[in-house]
Amino acid sequence: MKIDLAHSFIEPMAANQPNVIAVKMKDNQLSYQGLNQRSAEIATQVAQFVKTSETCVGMFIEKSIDAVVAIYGILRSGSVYVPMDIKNPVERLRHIIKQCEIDTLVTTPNNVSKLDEALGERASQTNLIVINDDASLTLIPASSPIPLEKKGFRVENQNLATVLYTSGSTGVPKGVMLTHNCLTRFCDWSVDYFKLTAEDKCISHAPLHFDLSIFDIFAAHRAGATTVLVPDGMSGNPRYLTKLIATESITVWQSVPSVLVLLLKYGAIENYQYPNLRQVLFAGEKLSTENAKKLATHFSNATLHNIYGSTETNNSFVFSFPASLGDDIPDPLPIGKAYSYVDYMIVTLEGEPAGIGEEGELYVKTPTLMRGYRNNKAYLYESDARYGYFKTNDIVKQLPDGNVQFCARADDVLKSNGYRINVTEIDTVLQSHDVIREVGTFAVPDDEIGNRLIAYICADEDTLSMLELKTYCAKHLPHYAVPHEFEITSEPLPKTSSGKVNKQQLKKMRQEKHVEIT
Amino acid sequence: MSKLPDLKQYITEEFIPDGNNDHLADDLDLIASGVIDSLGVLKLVAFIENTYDITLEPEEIDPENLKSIDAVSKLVESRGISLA
Repeated sequence: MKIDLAHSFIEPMAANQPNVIAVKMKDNQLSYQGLNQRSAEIATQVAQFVKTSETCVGMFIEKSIDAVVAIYGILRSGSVYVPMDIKNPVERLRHIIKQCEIDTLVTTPNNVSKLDEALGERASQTNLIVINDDASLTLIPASSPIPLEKKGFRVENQNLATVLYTSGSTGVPKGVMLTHNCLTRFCDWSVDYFKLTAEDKCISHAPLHFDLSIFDIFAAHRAGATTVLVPDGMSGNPRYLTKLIATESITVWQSVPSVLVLLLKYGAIENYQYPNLRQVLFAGEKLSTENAKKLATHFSNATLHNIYGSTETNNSFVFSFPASLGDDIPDPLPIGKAYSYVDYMIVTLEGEPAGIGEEGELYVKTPTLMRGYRNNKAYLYESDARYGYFKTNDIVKQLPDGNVQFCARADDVLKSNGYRINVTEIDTVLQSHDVIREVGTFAVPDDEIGNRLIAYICADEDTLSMLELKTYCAKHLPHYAVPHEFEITSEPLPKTSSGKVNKQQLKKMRQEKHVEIT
Repeated sequence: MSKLPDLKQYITEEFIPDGNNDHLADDLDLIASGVIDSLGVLKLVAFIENTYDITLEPEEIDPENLKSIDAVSKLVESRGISLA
C-alpha cells in the first residue's frame, strides 16, 4: 500500500493536470508540472544530507514561489521542513537552529549573509542549498561537516513533516511537531468540508511558519487548486488585498480576523465586487458580530467560517454561516461544532464535566494533535484520566443549540493581530535591559487588533527614551510582540501580596489615566 | 517650502510618545526598529495622502516605500511633489 504523506499527491497531480497553476505570486507562477520538477531537484540536493527519517531542514526564505518549492523539496527528500521567520531576532533563529539540530538549510542569495550571522559558529558545519533567481541551485557545503552516518530509512505517515514555532508559556518559543498524518487528516477533511476543487483560487495570507499556511498550501494543492501568495510586505496592506481578491478572482480566503477588520476599515473594500469569493475562513482570535455583518454585505456570495484551533491541535471547531444570514448572525459568534474526527470535553475548575451553559476548560482529542513540543516531553496529559486529551487553556461553554462558545483564556497567552503572544516573554526581554528596574506587561482589548500590549516600566525616566525602548524590543522580540504603548515611571510598580508586579492594578491605573485624557 | 519637517513631526507625535526624536535619523528603518507597526504604516499612509493630496496605489503601499523618512520622501517626490 502506498503511504499517504503530506506531499504524496504532487506527482500524480503533475501527471493529471500538468499545466494548472499550483502557485502564483504577483506576476510569477508555477504549474503543477513545474512544482513537481523543481521540488524534485531540491529533494535531490537535500537528500545528500539527510540522516534519518526525521532530519530537520531549515527554510530561511521570504514568502515566495521558491519557498513553496522548498517545502515540497524538503519533504520529498524524506526530511522535516522547519520554516523560519527571516525577520526574527538572531537569538530566536539560533534557538530554532540549535533545538532542531539543523545542519542543512534552503535559502536564497539575498538571505545568506543574515543567515551566516544567525548561524555564528555553526556556519562551518552547515550546508546551504541556495535557490538562485533563475531557479538554478547552488550548493554551499559545510567546510567542516559533521560526519554523516547514513542509514536506510522509509518515511511513514507517523513521521514528522514539520516543526512550527509558536509562543510558549514560559516565554521561550516552542517547536510544535506535526506528523504527516496530522497534515493529511486535516487536509482531507478540509478539502471535503470546504469543497475545494482544481477550479479554486486560494489565498495564502499567513506566513509559511504559521499553522494557517497548512491549509493554504497543502489542502489547496491536495484539491489541485491554485494558491495565490500574498508577499510578506503586502500582508498588512488592505488596499492591495481587496484588489487582489477582486482581480485574481479569489474563491477561498483564510486569514486571522484582524486582517478582515483592516479590509473593512482601510481596504477601500467598496471599490470592488467579489462575486467569486465563496469561502471566507477566519481563525486565531475573535471577530465581532458587527464586523462579521459588515463583511457579509461585501462578500455576499460567501459562506463565512469562524474557526477555532491552535498550532498544537490544528483546527478543531468551526461555526459556518452564509453571508445571507445578515442580521441574524449570532452575537457573539460561537466557535461552533467540533470537526468530525475531534472529541472534546469541557471540565469545570472543580474538575467536573461542565453542564450546558456552564464555563469550563476545553480539552481536545484529535488525530491531528501534535506529537509534542521539540525537546520537551512534558507537554500534555494533565492527569491519567484525561489521557490523550490536549489541555487548551481556553475557557468555553456548551450552548443549548449544540454550538460551543469561547469565553476566555486561562493563562498569560493572548492574541494580537492574530499572533500568539506571551506577555511573560515581553517582561523577560524588558527586564534584561540595563536601566529597567521593574516591568509589567499586560493587554487591553482593542477593536482593530484584538489586544493592545502595554508595558509599564520602572526606570529613571531621563535614562530611557521611547525610541530606544522600541528599538530594543524590536531587536529582541518578534515584531508582533513589541508593545504598542510604554509607560515609564520612576516609582516602583504596585505589587501583589506575593511580591509580583500587580498587573490588575496596572490595568486600573491605565484605565484611570485614559479617563483623565478623554 | 519644505514639507519634510511635517513628516518628521507627525512620526514623532504619533509614534514616539515622549517626543524625544534626537535619534530619529532620516534613514532610520522605522519598521525594523519597532517605531511603527503594520497598523502604524496605514496611519502613515493616511497622513501622506492627506498632507500631499495624493492617493497611493495599492502596490505603492509597500513597506519598502514607507520604512524611513528618506523612503517616504522619495515616494512623494516620485509623484512630482517637490520637498526641497
